[in-house]
Parts: sequence; C-alpha cells; structure tokens
Amino acid sequence: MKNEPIVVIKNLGKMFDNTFVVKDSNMTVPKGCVYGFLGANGAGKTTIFKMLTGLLSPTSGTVEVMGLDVTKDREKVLRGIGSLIEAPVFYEHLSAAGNLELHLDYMGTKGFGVETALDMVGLNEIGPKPVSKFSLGMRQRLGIARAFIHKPQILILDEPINGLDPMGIRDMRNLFLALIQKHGMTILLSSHILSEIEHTADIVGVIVNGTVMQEVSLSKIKEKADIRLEDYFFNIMSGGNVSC
Amino acid sequence: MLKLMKLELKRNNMRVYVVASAVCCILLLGLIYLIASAAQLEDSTASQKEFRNYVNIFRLTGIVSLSIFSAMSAIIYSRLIISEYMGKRAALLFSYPVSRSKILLAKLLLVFIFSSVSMLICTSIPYIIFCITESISPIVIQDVMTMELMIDALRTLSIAVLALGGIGVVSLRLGYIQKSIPTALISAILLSAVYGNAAISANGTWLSLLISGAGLIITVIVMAELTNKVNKMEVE
Repeated sequence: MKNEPIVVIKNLGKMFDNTFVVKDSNMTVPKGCVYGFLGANGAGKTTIFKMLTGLLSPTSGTVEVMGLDVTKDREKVLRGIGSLIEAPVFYEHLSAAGNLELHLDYMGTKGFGVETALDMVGLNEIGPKPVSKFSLGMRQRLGIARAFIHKPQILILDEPINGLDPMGIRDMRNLFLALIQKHGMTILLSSHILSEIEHTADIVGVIVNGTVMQEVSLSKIKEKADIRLEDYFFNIMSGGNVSC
Repeated sequence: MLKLMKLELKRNNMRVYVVASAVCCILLLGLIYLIASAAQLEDSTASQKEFRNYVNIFRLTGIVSLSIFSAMSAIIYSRLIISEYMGKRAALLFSYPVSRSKILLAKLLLVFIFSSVSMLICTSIPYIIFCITESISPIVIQDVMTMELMIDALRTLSIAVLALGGIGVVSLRLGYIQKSIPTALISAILLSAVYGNAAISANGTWLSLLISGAGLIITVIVMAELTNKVNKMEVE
C-alpha cells in the first residue's frame, strides 16, 4: 500500500572512537516515493545508509526495513534492497555483463535480466570490455544497474549522480521515475547538491551534524510561494528550524 | 556451498595460480633429479651422501613441495580473504543476502581444495616421472626402487597435504591480524619449515597422523574464530 512506511528509523545513533557521528535520528520513508537525503559532506548520510544495509550496526536505536529489523533479519532485508553506497566497486577483470550476472547469481533471481538492465542505464553497447577500462560515468551507470537489476523493493543510492554528465543525470532521473512508477520501487537517495534533490525527491530529510533535523514534503514547500527552497534548506542546515 | 564456491571461482581469476602450480611442478621435477645427481658426485659431502637412497630424496622433495605450496596457499588465502574483507570489496560482499559464514567457508574450502589438488598433482608428477626413469636407467645406484618405496612416498605426500590445509589457515589468521599479505606469506614459510617438517619427518605413520590431527584441531578453532570475526565485521 502506498504511503505505508517502508523504512522506519527510531532514535538511531552510531558511535566511532567515542564520538557519535549519528545521534537521535528518526526517519520515516513511505512506500513508493523518492526520499531525498540532504546534508553537507560528513553530515552522516552514508553512515545511516550503511546502517540501513547492515554494513554497520547501530550503537543505539532501531532500524526497520520492510517491517524487519536489519540487525536481526539481515539476509531477508538484503533480498529486498539494492544499494550503491560510495564509489561502486566491481570485479575489474569481468565485463559489465559479467559483473551483473554474478550479482544476480548471488541474489538468486533473474531480475530484469542483464541486457535489459544495461539498456536501462545506457550501457547496452558496451560489449565484453573489462570494467577496469570503464570511465567514472560508466562505472556509476553500472553501479546503478547493479543496484536495481534484481528488482528490489528499495533502492538506496548514495550520491548517485557523482561522475555523470548532464545528459547522464537527466537519464538517471527518468530511470528513477520509471522504477517507481512501473516497478513500485521506493528510492532513498542522498546528495549534498540541493538542485538534484529538488528535481527528484518527493520528501526531503535534512541531516545536520549526524541528526535528521527535518522531514518535509517538497510539494508543501513549493506550495508556499513566499519561501525560496534554497533559503529554506540553508536555514535548516545552518542550525535554524523552519516549520512548513 | 558448491554454488558459492563456483561464484568465488568466477569472481577471482585463478588462472595465474594454475600457471604458478605448473611452474612449481617443473621446479620440483628439476629438484628431484638435482638431489639424486648431486649425491652421486664423487666429491659429494657426507650430508649429500644421505640422498643416495630414495626415502630421503622423496622426503626432501616433499618438504620443499610443502613449503612452496604453503606459500602459494597463503597468497591465495590472502587475496581471497584478507584483501577482500579489508578492502572496499567487503561492502559489496556483505550486500549479498547470503550468510557471511557460508561465504567465508566457501572461500576457505575453495583454497584448501585448490592448493591440495595442486600440490598432490604437481608433486606426484615429478615422483612418477622419477620412479619411471629410475626403473629404466637409475641415477641412484645404491638403492632399489620398490613398490613399497612408492607407497611410502605417497603416504608422506598425503600427510603433507593435511599439513598444508592447517598451515594455510593458520598463516591466513596471522596475516589477518596484521592485515598484511607478507605476514601471511612469512608465517606460511615458517610454519611449513617447523610444523610441516615435523609432520613429514616423524617416524611412523601414527606419529605423523597425530601431529597432523593436532594441526587439524588448531585449524578448526582458527576457522571458527575467524568466522565469528567476519560475522561481526563492520564496513566503515
């Protein structure tokens, strides 16, 4: 059911070397939306994404994905998640198709199929070239393909437009839209670029110094003609608290 | 498990290790003839004369083979485990909905099977060629090649393969502590020199098996501890 929460984070905290890099964070992501995670570099976006995917364990609080506790049901949760966190890592000696086939084997599903997924990210004519010879943009596209090829319920994309040219950015925006509308996925994407979030997200979560300060529907802000989006977010990110 | 092992084979380029094993096989073949020939020289020393019998020739070749393949197994373990869990690939590996323990076990089994089979084949071939040529035109004129000798050589080889499994896993664990491939490599060479030598050179099959058994128990403990560590690992 749409609007039903698919990700729920409660009082989440993560400590590294006696310092909390994420603290008292709460977050609710409704099913079928694009949740834009906005924050400055080092604000804690990637750390929260890593806790969502079980790469890190929370120091405090709970993380529920698809109604399951990530720390207890890691494997079940991972079956329903596709992720691209930080720079994508590949098996460099394998081709794009080889990397995707391997991923599908581990996921135990045929998903979209390798050719379709490569076509969806514009890498259909890449051939047997090993990934070690790919450009940054090609690697990013392949990373995105690997994140959604197994048809997950949730896509977690950390700075997905890194290394993409303007055409590529537009293509990926359209792809994300298609994945939500045609395949019912929910997308969580992070960015420190406000315009990117503005173009793609339905809901924006703003994280400042490790704490999710505000979650707001983008359409609600846009409805208020007297608020400039940039000013609104800069105000929150610099410590102010604006209600919408 | 078989599927996970096949996927490991796909992810990791093992061709280089196959080539390395073939080179080791040729080196061992050269070594066995070198030992036999050197002992026959008129001005050979007393210690060289020790190798005027087949038992000692096979034993020395077996120890050298164990050292070589221990080093190789340490390198493969390091590449498949230390590099993967310590590097950025860990995030990718942990994003699969497969038990971390099973993936680790698949890696350990794959390396164990690969290095054992390589050692078995690449040591047996020089042994067999040497046995055949010695039956036709012997270099070692002071001893006679018998079936018993060949069985004894194969028995020693089997014990060496058992020892190899333990040496590989223990040296991997030592390398894992330091997050260093050279540490694993040096540990493997030292362990093969001390533990491997003791297992192969022990007088009597039972003593050899006892030493190997003790090694096996240590290996299982190390594997359990390593699995526990990997299960609790975080990717920062």
